[in-house]
Amino acid sequence: MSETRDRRLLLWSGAVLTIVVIITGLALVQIEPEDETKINQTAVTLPFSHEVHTQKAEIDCLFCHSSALRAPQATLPSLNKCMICHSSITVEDDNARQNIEQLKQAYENGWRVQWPDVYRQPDFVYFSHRAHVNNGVSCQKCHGDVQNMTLVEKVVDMDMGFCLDCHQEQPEADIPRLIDCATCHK
Amino acid sequence: MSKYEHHWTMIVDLDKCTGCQACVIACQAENNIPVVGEDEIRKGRGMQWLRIERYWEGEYPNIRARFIPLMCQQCENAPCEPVCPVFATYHSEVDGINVQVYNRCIGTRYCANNCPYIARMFNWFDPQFPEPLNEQLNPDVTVRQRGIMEKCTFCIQRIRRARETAEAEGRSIRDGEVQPACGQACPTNAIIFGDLNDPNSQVSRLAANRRGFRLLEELGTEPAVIYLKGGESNVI
Ligand code: HEC
Ligand code: HEC
Ligand code: HEC
Ligand code: HEC
Ligand code: HEC
Repeated sequence: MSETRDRRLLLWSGAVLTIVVIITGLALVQIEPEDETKINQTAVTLPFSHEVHTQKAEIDCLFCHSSALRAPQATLPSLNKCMICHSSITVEDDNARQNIEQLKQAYENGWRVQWPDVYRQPDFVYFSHRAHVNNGVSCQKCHGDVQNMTLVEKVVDMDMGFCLDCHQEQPEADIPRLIDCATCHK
Repeated sequence: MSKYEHHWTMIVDLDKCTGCQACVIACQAENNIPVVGEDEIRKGRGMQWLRIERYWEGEYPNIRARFIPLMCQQCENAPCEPVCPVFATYHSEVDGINVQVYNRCIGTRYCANNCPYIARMFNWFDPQFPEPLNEQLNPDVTVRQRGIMEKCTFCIQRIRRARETAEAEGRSIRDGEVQPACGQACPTNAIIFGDLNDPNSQVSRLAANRRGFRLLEELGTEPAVIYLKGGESNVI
């Protein structure tokens, strides 16, 4: 009689212990990644100046927007790319130094940077940087004088007429292809 | 040599088709085609740019299954084109195919009514891509909204990509460089794609095959899809 009670007690406590272990385990696993994603998702904005980088520092647009020659998207630089220079550059100006501190803080904490969306085409438009940049169309034709801006502002309204006006001026043999709806609409 | 820059053509070898449906799935994934479910299909509102038509021949036990993969035939004289009141569907002078401009389409459905191959699909509802299917949408293809007509495009996004790559490398598109999703997925290589303007291309050689025929040839639509007649090999 008492033997069966002992065994039952043992079984029960065993079961309770297993459940407790599983729940704590799950809770630990749950908490860990949740906190991490929270940190990564705090999107921060950073100060940045195109004027300083393209005129004072004379950096080529393609150094930062490095896919423009090869792909449809020009792409924005990652913080790793900023740090190629800013892990070693020192600046005199206090304001500039503070701005660069912000960059370093974001980099070291792995924060995600949310730059503003400036130029975006609707979903049904196909656009490709590669086709233009390889054919000698300058960035300024479409984006304005970015080299004089801090953060990029939208100065050109790239509607369908804007695209077609230039496509109509291309060599005669290319025009049928360049004004074909399927070239720009997907 | 036709008047087009490229004359994209598809060859479907019915001797090689096993009816496995890999092409159908590949097409669905590549072109962001929603799965509408049994009820809608029963109402004739299925969404498939490419389907396998199946025919039974003979009587049991001497029975044989025949398969025909059927998609937009990209007709040279396309019955769908002249009936569109807003020019949302037209014949491309560049690629020689029949193009559908989704953002121009207003959904009159005249084109579908005029298509003898039942190749055009209408979006009766906004498409649903429940999690996690939304993660695999192809960014090169628009997700069509409710009220829009759609159909096989010969994977024009792949043609576009190949043209751009070729241009960047200063050459012309190579034979076999453009492969639509269906042809890429086909385990028996039953679907071959290429430029009929290039006399040395695979499709040019296959187009001369004496097994070649086009669907509903008597209508004079002159499809750009050429089927090679199946022989005895489709026996089940
Ligand atoms: C023919 C016009 C044109 C030219 C030339 C052009 N762009 Fe763009 N750019 C656009 C359009 C249109 C968009 C919006 C694209 C979209 O929404 O898909 C864009 C978007 C961008 C973006 C943000 C989105 C992305 O693609 O990553 C960057 C960065 C950019 N352009 C940089 C450049 C640079 C640098 C150059 C020169 C090397 C350049 N562009 C030349 C038209 C142009
Ligand atoms: C190729 C080197 C290089 C890269 C890459 C680079 N920078 Fe700079 N950056 C410079 C130079 C040079 C200066 C100017 C220093 C001075 O004022 O003497 C500068 C200045 C700055 C300043 C201070 C300017 C001011 O007036 O506020 C900030 C902030 C800054 N950079 C942020 C960035 C960010 C963010 C990135 C990445 C998107 C980046 N930098 C990428 C070279 C670079
Ligand atoms: C040091 C790196 C760097 C250089 C060099 C650089 N950019 Fe940028 N560019 C950025 C960053 C970071 C952003 C995002 C912040 C913003 O929108 O200004 C950006 C944004 C842009 C955008 C807006 C993207 C959008 O969302 O639509 C355009 C257009 C652009 N750059 C064009 C240029 C052109 C043209 C040049 C050369 C004259 C150039 N950039 C040089 C780093 C750079
Ligand atoms: C300033 C002139 C100019 C403007 C503005 C312009 N383009 Fe272009 N575009 C060109 C040139 C030049 C080519 C290359 C022509 C060639 O390949 O022969 C081209 C090629 C293209 C191609 C590739 C065509 C192919 O088959 O290779 C696409 C797609 C395209 N443009 C879309 C657009 C869109 C969308 C816009 C408007 C947002 C636009 N373009 C604005 C000059 C321009
Ligand atoms: C050179 C590129 C280009 C070509 C070629 C082109 N489009 Fe467009 N189209 C665009 C761009 C870019 C927009 C988006 C304009 C905007 O955002 O305001 C647009 C917008 C449109 C819209 C407006 C859609 C809406 O909902 O606002 C329609 C309709 C349209 N295009 C139809 C056509 C037709 C039909 C053809 C062929 C005859 C054609 N397009 C050829 C670039 C092009």
